[in-house]
Amino acid sequence: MSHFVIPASTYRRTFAILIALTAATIAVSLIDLGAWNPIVALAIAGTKACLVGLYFMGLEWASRLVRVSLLVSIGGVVVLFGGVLNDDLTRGTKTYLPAEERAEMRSFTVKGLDGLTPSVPEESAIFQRENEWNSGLTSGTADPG
Amino acid sequence: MATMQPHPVAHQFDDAEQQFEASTLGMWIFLLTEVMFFGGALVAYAVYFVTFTDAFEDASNHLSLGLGTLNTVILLSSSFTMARAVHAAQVESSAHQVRWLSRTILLGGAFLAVKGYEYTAKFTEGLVPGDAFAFAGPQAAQHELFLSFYFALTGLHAVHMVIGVGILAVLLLLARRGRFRRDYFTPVEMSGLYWHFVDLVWIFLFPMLYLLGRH
Repeated sequence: MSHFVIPASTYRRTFAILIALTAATIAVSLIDLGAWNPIVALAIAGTKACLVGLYFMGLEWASRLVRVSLLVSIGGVVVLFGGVLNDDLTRGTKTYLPAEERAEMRSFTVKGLDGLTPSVPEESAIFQRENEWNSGLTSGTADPG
Repeated sequence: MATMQPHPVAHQFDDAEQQFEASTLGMWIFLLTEVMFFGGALVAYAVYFVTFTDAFEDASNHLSLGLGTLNTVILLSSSFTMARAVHAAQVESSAHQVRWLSRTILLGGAFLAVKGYEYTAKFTEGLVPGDAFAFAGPQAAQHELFLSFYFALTGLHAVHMVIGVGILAVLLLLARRGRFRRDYFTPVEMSGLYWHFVDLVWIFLFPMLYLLGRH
């Protein structure tokens, strides 16, 4: 079988870089970068994931079919995260936030799509439901029933 | 080995190369479903992290940075030894296969032992979500939520590890019998893909759970 055999030194080098990146992610986590802390941590994790995928899992030498299928699933996860977080961060029904901040979230508009951006009135059913759930969390009982 | 028969090719395949390609694609399709599976769990975590960022950063310090780092190093090492086991199977050295597979199993066991120690510590410290949850500081409910995610995510990961160690144990037995040769090492390579995937999940879990509140 004409299977490409990777020299063992490639594995050693990949492993050394992975350990170095682990040290880097811990070092960076000790510094306060505000909102950038999780972003930098995920960027380093993504780099490590690429190294494991490319060299340990052999994606560097894999068929185009395998690579395309992988990209499709990563695309699916990106859509999942993008859609869910976009909804969650702009819904404006989080009652544990100050009223002004909620109003600001609800007034979030995408340029050119102002007419299409839905706004949730404070007295709507979904708002009431989230209100109950949030007050359950903030009053110390994580179970909203 | 020249006297050995070549590994049989199933009738639906043209040749061994195509048979190997089919196995590889099948394994990747399975891993893609795993990506979606963990992706769903992680997006739930992400929603609560952006919602209760401060509380999650504080709660993250309930976890031991030293043990988390130790387990990261153990798991990365096990990925390295697994890659070497696949390499040994490719270059047809049964003794090397056995050596690298054994090391991978030992490292996998070490990871699970550290994880077990961490879980035990959480139980004795009253940090397990539920009736016995004893943390009474500010935002206790959010701390409990974080620890629920901690147990769910690391628990799912640990289940994958246990399955992985089981698969490697079977591989070790087969490798000792000289089952894998230059023209046939598909099970070693496919199990390697699985093992590296479990390593990948931990690469994301470690910063998301252990490193949030260290600054």
